Amino acid sequence: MEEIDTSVSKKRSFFRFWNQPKHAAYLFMAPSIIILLFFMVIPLIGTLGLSFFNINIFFTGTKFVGLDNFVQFFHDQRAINSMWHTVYFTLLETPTQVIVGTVAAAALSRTTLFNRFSRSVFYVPVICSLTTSGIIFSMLLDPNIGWIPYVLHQFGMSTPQFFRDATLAMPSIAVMTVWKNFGVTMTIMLTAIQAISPSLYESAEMDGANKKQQFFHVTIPQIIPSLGFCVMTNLIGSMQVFDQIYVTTAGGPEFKTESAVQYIYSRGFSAPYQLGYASAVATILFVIIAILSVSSNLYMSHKEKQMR
Amino acid sequence: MRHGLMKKLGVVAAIAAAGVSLAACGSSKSSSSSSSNKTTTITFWNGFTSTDGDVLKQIVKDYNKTNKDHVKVKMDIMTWDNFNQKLPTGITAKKAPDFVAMNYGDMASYVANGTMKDMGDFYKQNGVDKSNFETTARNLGVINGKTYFVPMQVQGMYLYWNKKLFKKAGLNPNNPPKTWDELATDAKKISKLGNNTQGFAMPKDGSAIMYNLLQDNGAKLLNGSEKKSALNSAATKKSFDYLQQLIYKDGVGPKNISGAEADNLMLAGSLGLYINGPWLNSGLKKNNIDYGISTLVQAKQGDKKAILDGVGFGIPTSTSDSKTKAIYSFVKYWNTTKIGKKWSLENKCAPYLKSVAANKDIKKDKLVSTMYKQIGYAKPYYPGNKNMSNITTNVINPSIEKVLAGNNTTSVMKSASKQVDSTLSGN
Repeated sequence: MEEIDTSVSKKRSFFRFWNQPKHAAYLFMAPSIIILLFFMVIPLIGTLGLSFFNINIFFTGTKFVGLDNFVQFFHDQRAINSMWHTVYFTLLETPTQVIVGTVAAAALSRTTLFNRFSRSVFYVPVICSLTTSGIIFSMLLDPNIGWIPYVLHQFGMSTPQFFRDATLAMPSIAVMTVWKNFGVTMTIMLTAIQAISPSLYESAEMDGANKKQQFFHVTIPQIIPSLGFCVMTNLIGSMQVFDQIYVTTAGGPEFKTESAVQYIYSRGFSAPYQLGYASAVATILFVIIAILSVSSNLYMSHKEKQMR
Repeated sequence: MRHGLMKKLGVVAAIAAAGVSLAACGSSKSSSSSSSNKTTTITFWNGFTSTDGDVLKQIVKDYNKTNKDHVKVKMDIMTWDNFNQKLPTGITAKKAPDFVAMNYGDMASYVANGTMKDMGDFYKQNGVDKSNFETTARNLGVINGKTYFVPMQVQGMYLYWNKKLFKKAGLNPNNPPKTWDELATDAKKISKLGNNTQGFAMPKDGSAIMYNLLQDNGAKLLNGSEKKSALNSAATKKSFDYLQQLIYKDGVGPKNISGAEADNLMLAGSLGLYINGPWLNSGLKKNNIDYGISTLVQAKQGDKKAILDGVGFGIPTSTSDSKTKAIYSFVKYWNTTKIGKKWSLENKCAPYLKSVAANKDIKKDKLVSTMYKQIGYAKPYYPGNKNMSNITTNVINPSIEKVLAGNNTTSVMKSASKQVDSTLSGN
């Protein structure tokens, strides 16, 4: 009987321990930490480890090569180009998406029936997969069977080749990505805008500020933290661009839209299955993304402090 | 309290009992595959996603119903892209299927990595007549003297032409071009019809057409020992110039188009001439396109050159011997005259079994018998070379794209040759 009493009291102290907020927090975090550990941290360490080996996907003929794979990257023009294409895409996509999302959020911030309907409409593409969106855009922009080239042709304009033109292909992919994702940015910015105290706008109005001045001098400073979050997440997402390129141009024409992730994928998962080299390129990309995210985060924090 | 304890013990016992029964189920399953009286289930991956997949499903269903070897084939059909992504990781993770159907060009890199079984003993099985197989078809699966796959389908590139567009352009719909020059002349006439009509389409990923053109012009991709590139030649330049003149300069077809997009043009009836494999037949028939099919055009009349391609059955090394026996049972069934005939007629494929080719229904079928003519002289392109897949994807296809985009053909050729050398040297 005594033994059972001891076990009951142990149980109680166990629950009491985990009921304390500072301990319970770990319980709430545990699922995310476990997922992060198994699907992010361990694969990251594994990728770094593989990058020091000459290894193929079948794990045959494995050889330790030290930093050779990293050295090879700097002599591989296609790999370097793929990094530049990724940066180019990011420069096109991230600012456009943040601007379009913020402007849409500002325009639809008042809760009217039309605005609520518009918000839902703008969010619909977010629900579609990138692959589906890619296929839709490929068909819409196809110079032979596409609706958009057809309409342009009807107005007597020449038919642009969009995804088939080396100059137009990447901007076309960026536009498609903005269309697909700006609903997320809009929703985040909308929440931030709606949280701004109306008294700030009233004061600005009393001081004679017009709508434009209110937007730049009241709205923007107030939403800087959300803006920073959107810039950073978009930046990371853009640097990892893959699906939409894979579906629309497959990296063409002439590798002009081949992104870093696509190059990593083609090196590692198609003949000659160079897993070691692909891991080295992935590690380099990881470092670039980390530097960009940290610097953008620092810049936005600095800006936030400046504006407050 | 004691009652509660007993209740807990009871739950533990029940769970243990369930565990034992489940374990028993598991062991009975494993014994089912080892015992000769029980059914052996074999998993089969392939990429026949089109209408050919429906025929394949029917054949597998019939086999599962009728075979007396107690074998059940469990098939997983996926796109070839998916297949080529899943198989290497499946092999590494020891989750590979028991057998696969794959292209002979892709097989070589698997063999080089020691992941495919030698299937030479298949031809020694009771009821298998080795001499009934066309030698070229059988040799598709031979690498370094060993048989790594048994044919399932052989194919080549054929010339398709749209008879309706031929008539509109004032050409004889029953007289397709015989040479590459005639093809260019006819394509130019068709492309002048306007209304988005294209004369000829050369896909940017059209390596199969490119290899045939190179071969016809006497150009070689690799030297005799296959250790160095042989691309840097006047014959290669001539081939590149021909395509550039046709597409980029004369504009008889779209400049930057994928194979899938070119297929769509042909299926929509807005393409006059096209070169593709037998799989285009079903779509053309379904879309009621008035078309013809003939053997591939040549550099000059009377030449008989073509590349033989094919898909075969292969077995990963992870498959057990007992399952290999079961797989042989299915492969044997596949290579019977009845199934060979069904596959050829329904999918419009050239037969590779002599008994199928001799069948009167096959001889009566115009499309199939035309394709069979080409199989007689077609030869595989660098069979067993593990670098071919890499060279095709990373050198030849990008070079085609550059040629079609109007880049200088000499520099494209030189650059491609260098890249081939680099690939062969393992850099």
